[in-house]
Amino acid sequence: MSTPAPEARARGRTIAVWSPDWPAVTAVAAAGLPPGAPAAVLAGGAVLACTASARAAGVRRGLRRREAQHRCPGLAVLPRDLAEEARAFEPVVVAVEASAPGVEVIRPGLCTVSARGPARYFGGDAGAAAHLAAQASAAGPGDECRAGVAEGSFAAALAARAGRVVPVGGTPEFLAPYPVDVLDRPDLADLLRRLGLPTLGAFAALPAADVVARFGSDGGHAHRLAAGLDPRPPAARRVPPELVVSVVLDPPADRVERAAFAARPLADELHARLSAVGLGCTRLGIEIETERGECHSRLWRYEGVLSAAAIADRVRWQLDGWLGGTAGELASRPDTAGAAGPSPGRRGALRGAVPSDAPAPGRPTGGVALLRLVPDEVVPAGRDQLSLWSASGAEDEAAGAELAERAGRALARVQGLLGQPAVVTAVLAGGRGPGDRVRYVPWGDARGPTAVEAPWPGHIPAPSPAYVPPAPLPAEVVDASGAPVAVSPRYAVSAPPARLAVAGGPARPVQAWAGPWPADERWWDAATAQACVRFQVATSDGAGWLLALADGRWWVEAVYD
Amino acid sequence: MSSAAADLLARLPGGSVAPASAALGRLLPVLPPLRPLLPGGGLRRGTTVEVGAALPDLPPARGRAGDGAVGGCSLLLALLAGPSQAGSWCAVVGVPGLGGAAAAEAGVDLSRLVLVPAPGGGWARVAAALADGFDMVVVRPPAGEAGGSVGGAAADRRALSARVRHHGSVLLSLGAWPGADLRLTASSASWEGLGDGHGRFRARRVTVSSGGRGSAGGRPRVVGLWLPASGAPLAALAPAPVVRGEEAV
Repeated sequence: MSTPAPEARARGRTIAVWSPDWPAVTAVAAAGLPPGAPAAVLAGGAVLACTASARAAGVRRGLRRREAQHRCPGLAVLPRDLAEEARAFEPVVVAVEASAPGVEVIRPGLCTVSARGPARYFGGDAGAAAHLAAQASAAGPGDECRAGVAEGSFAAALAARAGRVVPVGGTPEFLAPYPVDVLDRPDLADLLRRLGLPTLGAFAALPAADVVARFGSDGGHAHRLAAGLDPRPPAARRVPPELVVSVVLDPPADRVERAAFAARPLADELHARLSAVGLGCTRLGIEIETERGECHSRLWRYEGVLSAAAIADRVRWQLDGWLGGTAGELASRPDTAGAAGPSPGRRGALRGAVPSDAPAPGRPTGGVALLRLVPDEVVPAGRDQLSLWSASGAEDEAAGAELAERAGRALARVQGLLGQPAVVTAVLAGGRGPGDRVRYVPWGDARGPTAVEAPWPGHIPAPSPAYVPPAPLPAEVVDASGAPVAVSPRYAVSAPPARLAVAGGPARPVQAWAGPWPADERWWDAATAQACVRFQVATSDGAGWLLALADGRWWVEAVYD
Repeated sequence: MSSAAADLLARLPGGSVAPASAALGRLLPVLPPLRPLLPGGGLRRGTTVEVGAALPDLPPARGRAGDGAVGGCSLLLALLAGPSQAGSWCAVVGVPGLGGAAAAEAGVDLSRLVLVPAPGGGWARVAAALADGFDMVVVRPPAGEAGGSVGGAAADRRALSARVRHHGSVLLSLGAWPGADLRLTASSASWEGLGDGHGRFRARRVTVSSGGRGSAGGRPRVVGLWLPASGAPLAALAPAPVVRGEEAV
């Protein structure tokens, strides 16, 4: 595995802004307790997050409720409120966005931004990180946000926890001592520990191709993270436009609940469309537009592949954050408004309206009319890692889906080796020539329509040739006297062909032949016109050839191998 | 073991079959006209099969009329058709000229056929990655390395054969593969349907011979076939098949 060039390494520099104990801090603020009070948020019966004062008293993540209360008698135990966390994080994101564009929210409490612009503006990575951390701290209820800089958002998040600025190119060394649990893949981490690879450095030392072959594409993804490399696959994918889904809410939703409820089937549809072409989304853009034309868009990055439920959650978080804690009610619409869809102008006085040229998205003044999900970054959706001892031969009666999954895993590995366009599947199409009858579509793209019902007069009849060289081979066809065989404009053959020489090889005697079959295609367009005359020829060695004569030159179009 | 008996054994519930016969249950089915060629009447999982072909972009050194094998690609497609129709996935590595329309006519299910036309130098690695997940993997070892018995190419071939054996797939080689378990060669083809300036290719008579080593290969067998037949991709030759060697299978 070659180390990337210094410029490439510097390209992925990311600043992560992290607010410690975000769930606990927001819960404390929402409950009205003083900021320094010891409090813990429970999830599933165990402590999920606790404030600093509670931690000083001995409360840790994962403790049961009773144990935590035993360690810290005055502990306030609060339930988790995801909506409140998202709502409270919105001002922090806005504050960071004011200094650096292109903020990606990973989850409430952690956001990342590319370091290129801020580093140049604030005079270095450390200065930019300090500035962003100060801005974020001032905007949120938490007392102090930390920022860290490294290559890639995964390493930057870890750097933010430590409050470090990792030097350029120093990310692998920085990541090496961390335990494999930080990858947040418990099965893989367990397996790696049992194999004797307890740290990210030990995992990253394995060859990448072996890791992908053993653990699948998800394991390869984790491997790239552990090595400090850009986790995106080398072949960047352009997102085809049909993967963008949107829904128009008519009448516009005036409560967050309604908009979030409408987002759920939208998320399902996006997930279904992506899965149908074998893709998973790792970065999602959510755009919300109100009937007044106010637009709010945010990029959400996910470590792994977003599921439909995760997408719906993020839409709700974004809606919550945008509304800024108004108990779910959007501002009431004045009576003069009659439009049901988003309208560009904002004329007329509106109660509580934000000036239309305010840079930061203020509170919306109308109902939500349009929701759009744009998958910003997609990866081939691999499966979870294979067990080392899984039974490999499938019985002949295995379910087709199981075989398709195994095949898909193998294809993901090969596409990781060669790039996505290198693996293709064949789709029947219409055409006359032997190479036109089939279209090759890269694996993972939509197969598209298979239209073969239309008649194609003049097409090569069945049986089709089994070997169609990618480029036609030059050939020479001569008659009994040695002169090349020609075809007159009225499709009369000058003399029966007697010998065929392919690609400079020896001349083979012709045993039988048929033709000429003219094919004059697209004669109306000089640029794409193709006119040729086809022959079927059987030579004495038993081979069958499909020859084409175009512009006075003979070609072998296909071999009936 | 005749193919009828193999079918019967494959239908018995797994628990009541002895281990040696249980391996016969791991046979991939092929189209009926090809069954006499293969020991057990099917493609044994984990084996390597060499399908003789002489693709014309590498003209054979000795081009005497009547020399060389023809019908390699169509024989390969006929072999793929049986398992593909039964639900197996097939992958073809390094054969950029395989006719997709011919594959569809032979009966290969195009939705379970994947091609990697240009694997570059790493064809063995790609095929090894595909061996786990695909029941049938077709490779075309580059010419020039076929004769070598030492060096990187031979090591690649051994590793690939071992990998295929471990995963229970079938490796089909469109070209020479020293050490293959089974070798199928098509020869003495003659086309029917063409006249002197009229007609078209309708059917072709081909003689296919099979041989190999060990229990996967068995005795040499020779069978005459219509490949393709008129109206069908494959059919047995109506008179009794020509047999050389011991009794007919």
